[in-house]
Amino acid sequence: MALRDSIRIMVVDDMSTSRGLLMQALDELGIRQVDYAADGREALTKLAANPVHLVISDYNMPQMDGLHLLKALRENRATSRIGFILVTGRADREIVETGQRLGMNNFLRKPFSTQQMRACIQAVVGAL
Amino acid sequence: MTGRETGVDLAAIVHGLAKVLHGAHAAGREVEECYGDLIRDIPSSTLSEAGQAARKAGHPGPGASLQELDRLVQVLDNLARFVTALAPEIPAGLRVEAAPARDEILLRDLAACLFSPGAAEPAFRPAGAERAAEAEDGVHLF
Repeated sequence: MALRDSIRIMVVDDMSTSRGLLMQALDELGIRQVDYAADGREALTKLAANPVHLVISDYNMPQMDGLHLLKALRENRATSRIGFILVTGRADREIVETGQRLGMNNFLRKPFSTQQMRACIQAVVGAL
Repeated sequence: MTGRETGVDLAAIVHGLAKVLHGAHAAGREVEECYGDLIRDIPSSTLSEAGQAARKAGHPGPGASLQELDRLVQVLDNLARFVTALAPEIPAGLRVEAAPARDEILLRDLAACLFSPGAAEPAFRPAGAERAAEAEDGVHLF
């Protein structure tokens, strides 16, 4: 069984279009076990009930942004080992550096292509 | 800035600008959510094929364009919040000569919102149900 058949991913983004595009790209990569949340708080609630292998989260969200979500995940023993990819804008160098300090596994800059997303995920979890 | 009484009140203009930006953000958010629903409902292969066709034609493709739409909506949101927070900081009675700037505004409802205190904010789109009915008619003349 290929990794893409077994991996469970959560997409976290408050923007409906971005969330849809991330989920479409995952679908195109053959990844079917995908859940989503509209912000960090909703993600934490969902992850507590249904943990995943990898979180792909936007940075800029209301309620709880991507970095606060990352910090919360790393501080909780049950979720501390979940892979984390931060999706950021073009000029967010400081955010990426903070994410790296907090234990982010990789980052994806917008606008992204499906191929870029594949490379980004594979750098974290291995060949899909 | 001239400081002359003949100008227009800057605080009022900025207040109007904030209203316009909030309206533009709300309309953008509605469009963004509409496309989000659309994307969810179409097969990923369709979006991928559309992207390949667009790139062949020298366009960025729907994926990249829709990501730009998200960015645009977020920029409008940030600007609306910024201008709203800035408005109360403008000293009362500060007037500016705005005639050249006003000439740049070609939309009458937008000009009214910016330069006529109390005017309704420009309507970006009709409300949901009304819009749906118009869409069924097939034609919507502005």
